[in-house]
Amino acid sequence: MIDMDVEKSLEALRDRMYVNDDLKHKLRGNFIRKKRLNIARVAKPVIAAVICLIIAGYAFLNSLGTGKVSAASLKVENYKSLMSIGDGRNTGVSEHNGTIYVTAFESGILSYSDKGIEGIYSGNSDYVSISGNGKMAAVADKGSIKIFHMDSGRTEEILKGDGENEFYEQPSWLPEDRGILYTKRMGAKNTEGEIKFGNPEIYSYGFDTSKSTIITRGLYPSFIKGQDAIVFEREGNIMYKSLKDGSEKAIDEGCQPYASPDGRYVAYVRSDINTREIEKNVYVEQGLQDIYIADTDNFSIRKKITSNIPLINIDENEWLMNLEKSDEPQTLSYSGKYCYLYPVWSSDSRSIIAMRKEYPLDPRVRIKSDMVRIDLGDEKLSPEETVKRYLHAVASGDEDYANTITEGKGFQEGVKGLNITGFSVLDPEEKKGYIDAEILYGRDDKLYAKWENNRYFTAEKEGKATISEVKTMETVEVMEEGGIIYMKKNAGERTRMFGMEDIPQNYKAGSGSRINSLAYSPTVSSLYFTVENPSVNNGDNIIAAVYNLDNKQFTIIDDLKGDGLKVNRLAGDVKGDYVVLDYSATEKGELRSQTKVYGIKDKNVMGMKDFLKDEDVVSVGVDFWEGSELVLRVSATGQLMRIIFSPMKNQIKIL
Amino acid sequence: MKQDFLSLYDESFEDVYRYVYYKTGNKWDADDIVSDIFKKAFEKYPSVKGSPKAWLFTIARNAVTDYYRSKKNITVGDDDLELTFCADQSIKSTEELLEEKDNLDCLKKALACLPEEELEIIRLKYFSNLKYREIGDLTGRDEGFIKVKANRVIKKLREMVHKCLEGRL
Repeated sequence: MIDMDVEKSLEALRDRMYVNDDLKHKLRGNFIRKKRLNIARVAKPVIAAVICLIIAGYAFLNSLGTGKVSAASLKVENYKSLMSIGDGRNTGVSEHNGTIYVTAFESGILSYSDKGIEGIYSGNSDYVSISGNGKMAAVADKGSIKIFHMDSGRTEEILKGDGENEFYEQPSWLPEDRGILYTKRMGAKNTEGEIKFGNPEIYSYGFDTSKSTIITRGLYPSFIKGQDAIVFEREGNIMYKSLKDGSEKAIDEGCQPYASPDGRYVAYVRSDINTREIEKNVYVEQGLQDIYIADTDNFSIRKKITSNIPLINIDENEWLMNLEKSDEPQTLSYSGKYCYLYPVWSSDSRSIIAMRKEYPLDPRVRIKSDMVRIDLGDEKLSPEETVKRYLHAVASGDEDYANTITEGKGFQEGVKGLNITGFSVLDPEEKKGYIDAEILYGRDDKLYAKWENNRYFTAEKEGKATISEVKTMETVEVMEEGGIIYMKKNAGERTRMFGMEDIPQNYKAGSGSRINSLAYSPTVSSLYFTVENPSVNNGDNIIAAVYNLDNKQFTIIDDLKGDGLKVNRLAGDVKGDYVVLDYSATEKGELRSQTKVYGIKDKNVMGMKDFLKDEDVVSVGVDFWEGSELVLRVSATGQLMRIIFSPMKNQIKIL
Repeated sequence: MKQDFLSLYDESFEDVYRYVYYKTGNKWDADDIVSDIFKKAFEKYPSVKGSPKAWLFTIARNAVTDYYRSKKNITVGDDDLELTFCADQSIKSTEELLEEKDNLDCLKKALACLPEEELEIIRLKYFSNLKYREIGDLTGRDEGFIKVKANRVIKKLREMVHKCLEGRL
C-alpha cells in the first residue's frame, strides 16, 4: 500500500531522532544548584569559619618551612588571553615547556610557541594531552584515542570507538608516560530505536600490556603524582580515589579537575551561588562559575583564581516593581559574564590554561571564546607591574582580570568605544603611592586619536597591590572633520593642524583621495596618517606619512600599491620609536592582510609574515603597543592567537 | 503562573536538541549550541512574557543562524540526515520493516527537497512539537497562515513520497 499517513510518519521520524541524554542530565545540574543552596545557606557561615581555622592552621605549618606554597597563598601574577577560538568548539589544550598545543576545529592540532605557530597533527581532534616527556600527544579523535609520536610523525590508534555508540575520550597521562587514563562512554539503542548512554567510566590503559582496566565511574580522570591516586568528576562533584585501597571521597562541588604535574595542586571549575532576600519570598541570586585550585594533601585549602562578573541584564528594582505578588518564592537570577572550561596545568605547574567564554548582554551577539593563561606565584607584584598588568588586561578586553586589580571598581568606563592602541608605564623614581602611565587610543569607526597621561593610585591588600583610584592628568585629542585635522588639548578649544590642501601634491591622486587613518605621538610631536588614492585602472595606492607639529613638515613613510588596498589600523608606540601599519590587499584573488613596522629613527621596515612559519597563517593584525613591544593577532586555521613582536630585538614570542 | 525554568528545561530539551541537530547535522555542534541556548535562556528567563517555549525557540533559531554564519558552505545532505536518525529495532515482520523503511526513506528525500521556509515549519511542528500559535509568534506570522501553510506542505510531501515510492515498484 503506497498511501501513507505523512503526519504519523513525521512523528515516527521524530521518535527516531538522536538526542544526547547524557548532555541533558549534565546540563540540568547547572540549573539545579539553587535548590541545594537553600539548605546550605544556613550552614555556610559555620563552614566558612571552619575553613578559616584550617587555613590558619596550615599557614602556621607552612611558616615552619615545609617548602611548599599552599594554594591559599598563591597569587595570580599574570592573566592573559592568548587566543580567540571563535565559537568555542575547541575543547583541547595542553602545554609542555612553554609550547601550547591546541585543537583546531576540523584542522588537527596547532603548536604555539616562541618559534611560531605550526600545524603538528592533521587528523581530527577533540581533545589533546601531551606526555610528561613532551614527545607524545594523546588525541581524542571522533570517539577513538590515538597516540601521536611527535618525533616520527607516526600515529597509532590504541582505543577504537565508532563515534556513535562508543566513545573513548579525555585521555590524560600516567606517571613515566607508561600509559593513559581515559573516559569510556557506551550507548545502546532502546526499543524505540533511540540511543541512550550509560554512565561514563574511567579506565587506565598500559602501553606494556595494551590492556584496559576499569577504575571507577566518572569523567575527566587525572593522576596525582606521588600519591597513587586520581581526581575525577562524577555527578557534579570533584572526586578523589586512592588506587591503593580503592576508597573514594568527594572533595568539592565542581567539574573538569586537572592535577598539576608536580602533584601539589588540582585545578577545577566550580559554580558559587549567592542568594539574598530583598523582600519576603523574593530573592536575588547570583551564580558565578570560576576556576579554583586546591592542595592535594588537604583539599579544603583552596583558592578562587578567576573573578567572574555577574551579567546584569535586568535591573533589580525594575524587576521588583513589575513583579506579580505571590506566596511562592520568586527569584531573579544572574549568571556570570564568563564561563570557564577545561583548566589544564602547564608542565612546570606554575600556570593554568583554560577556555573562557564571554556572554554578551544582547543574546543576538555571538559568544566570544578565548584561551587564557593564568600565571601563579607567591611573590608580590610591584605597583608598576600591577599597573602594567591592568592596562594590558583593559587593552585585551580581559575585564575579569582588570576587575581583580581594581577590586571591582572598574575604571574602564572612560575607554568604552575607544581602542587602546598603545601604553607605557613610567618608571617611578621613588615610592609615591601612585604610578603614571601614558595611553594612546584610537577608534575603528572614525578618524580619531587620543593621548592620556593617567595617574594610578595603588594600595596593598592581602599582600597584593591593587589600584584604588585613577586620575587623568592631561589629554590631547586629534580628530578629523570635513577633510581637516584638528587638535584639542585638555578642555581647550580645537586648533587646525592641516587639511587635504596642505598635503603635498605627490601624496594625492585626485579628487578621490582622502585621509583614512590617524595616529598621534606626543613624544616626537608627530601626527601619523595615511592617504588613500583609489584608482580604477592602475590599482590602488596608499601613502603612509608623518606630519611634524613643530616644523610643520610632511615626510613619506611608505608608498604602497596594489589591488583592494585598505588600511585596518595605524598605531605608533608611546615613545615615538615605531609606527605600525595594518592593511589588506587582494593577492591572487584573495584578500590578505599585511602588517609592517617602521622604525622612525632608524628607518628600518619589518614585515610580520616573515617571522611566522606556518603556511596556514591567513592574517596578522595589530592589537596594541605595550611599551615598545607590539601585541599582534595571528589568524591560522580558524584560530586567532596573540603573539608579541619586539622590533628592537627583531623577534617574536608568545604571550 | 509561569512554570519554573527546570520544568521548561525538562519539557523542551529534546525538542530543542532535535531541532538543532536536524539543522546542523553534527552531534558535536549540536551539543555546543544546545548548551549555549539553555544557558542564555536560564539567564533571561525571569523577564519572559508570553509562551516560554516560543521564546526559547527564538533563542535556538538565532543560535543556529550564528552557527551558519561561521560555516557559510555547510549543507545538510542525505548523509547528514542519515546520522540524525537511528534505525528502528522494534519487533516487526520483514515485510513491515521493508515497507516502513521505504516510506521513511522517501519521506527523508522529500524533506530534503523542501524550500527552507516549508522545512522550518515541519521542524518546528513535527520534530519540536510547537503549536501553530507558537510557530506564529516565532516567525511573526498569523496562526491561521501557519496552519494553512502546514497543510499545504503535508499535501506536497504526500505527493512527493507517492512519486518516490512509485519509482521503486
